[in-house]
Amino acid sequence: MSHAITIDGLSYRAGRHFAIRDLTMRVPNGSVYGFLGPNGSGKTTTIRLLLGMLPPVDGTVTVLGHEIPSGAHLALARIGYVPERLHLYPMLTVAETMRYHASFYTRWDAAEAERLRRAFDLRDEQRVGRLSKGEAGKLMMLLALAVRPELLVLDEPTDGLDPVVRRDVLAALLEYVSTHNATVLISSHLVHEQERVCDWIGVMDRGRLVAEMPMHAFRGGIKRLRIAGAPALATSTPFGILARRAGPGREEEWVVRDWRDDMTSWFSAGETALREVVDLDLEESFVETLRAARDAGGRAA
Amino acid sequence: MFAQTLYVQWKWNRDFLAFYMIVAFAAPLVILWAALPHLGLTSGRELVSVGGAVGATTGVIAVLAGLTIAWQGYGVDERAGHVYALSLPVTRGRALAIRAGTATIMLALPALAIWVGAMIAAGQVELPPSLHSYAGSLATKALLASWLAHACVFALRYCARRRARSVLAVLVVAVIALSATAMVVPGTRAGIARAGDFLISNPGPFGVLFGRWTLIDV
Repeated sequence: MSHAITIDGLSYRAGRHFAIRDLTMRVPNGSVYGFLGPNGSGKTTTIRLLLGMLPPVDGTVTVLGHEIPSGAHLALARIGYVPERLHLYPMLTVAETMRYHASFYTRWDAAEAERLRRAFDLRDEQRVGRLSKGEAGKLMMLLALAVRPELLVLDEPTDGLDPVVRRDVLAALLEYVSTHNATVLISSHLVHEQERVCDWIGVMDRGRLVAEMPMHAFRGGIKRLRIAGAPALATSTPFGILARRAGPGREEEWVVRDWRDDMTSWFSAGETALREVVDLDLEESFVETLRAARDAGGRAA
Repeated sequence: MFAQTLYVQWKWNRDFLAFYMIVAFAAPLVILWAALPHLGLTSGRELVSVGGAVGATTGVIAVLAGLTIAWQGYGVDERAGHVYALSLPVTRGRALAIRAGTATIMLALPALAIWVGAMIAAGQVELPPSLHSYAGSLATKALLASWLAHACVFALRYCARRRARSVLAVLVVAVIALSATAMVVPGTRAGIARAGDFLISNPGPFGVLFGRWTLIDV
């Protein structure tokens, strides 16, 4: 499998309290990769590192075959980027912003930009500084899509947008991805939104990537098990145990990953009885993954 | 790319540019018109003195124009953390060259205003044969001075805030340390003075700011 983004052993430090530590990450070509994590987990910093905006302390980053940061300008010519906050010049109008942006991209599609402008109901003469949050979000998405990117990097693109605008923006994104087979890295803490559009998931927490897997594995592989007669020490399980909690009576709740239905046979061999297998939605899976990573981090510390 | 960047910079700076162009054009005329009734017709010394006042005033205007345009023009990038500028597909060197080029064109406008104003002002007085007006060289010097001021602010605005503070702190500490050294160790005074002279006289890096600014001279 080839990758649009390859990060190996990336480290970066910002101030005394925050650091990206030994980050290794793969974004497969043609995937919609959901980059999940709580606020302050390092998603935006990682994105800025992979776009060459920040210099890493250690590690290597390759984006669309270009080494970053030395080849960042070559990679950026093939990337559509939507940052988390409005970054455009406030004194320009929508039309001026589109002209300015277009002048930097040989791949700029003027007809597509105009189509999106109409679809997003943006007027040429509107000043960027006076756009509503929704309009600003739509303009940034327009600029990102009109450069006909092979890779879209979207940092909380729908954060703070109302449901109607969010639907418009996501619809435009999905339409583009389906017709151009582009790769998308979409960072968000809105887990349900990611569930609808992503086929890969990476979970970031406290500067570390704590999970990276296909969406179906993440969604289907993490389960809550209700168990009676659980052993004090559960070793050689065919699944990974993310968490153990006391349940009612002598029962325990286990949150496990890499679960498959045929693993029920592991319980029938001993005195441990499996009472129930509960499916978790993406948000619960995300929370349990974070909890397990923090517990493991706490124990290691 | 260049034309669009120039347009953006122009739109962001046009009010300040208009202000500096008006002031730069008017300053030589106002100073000479104010001084003329008090001058002896053949007083070369007084004419040189007034020419020096015009030169010094236009010098200050040029430097202020350079500082303001840089501060104003790059503030918009700084406010957004330079995210837009850094996300565009150009090398840092090329981006720098484009910004330097657009700054040169914009700063040429106040310099042009100085030239026109100084030409008209110089035409108002009948110069003795031993004196000449230097409107062209005054405008050129103003352009270089404003560009230098612009470059200094550009460098500070475009580095990270922490690094900018560090650079300024190092400069302040260096000045204080050199002054203290010169006071405590008299033997170092000549060397420090030579270094200072190099910085502020031609062809030193800041020579254009501290050299002789005048409209009328021998």
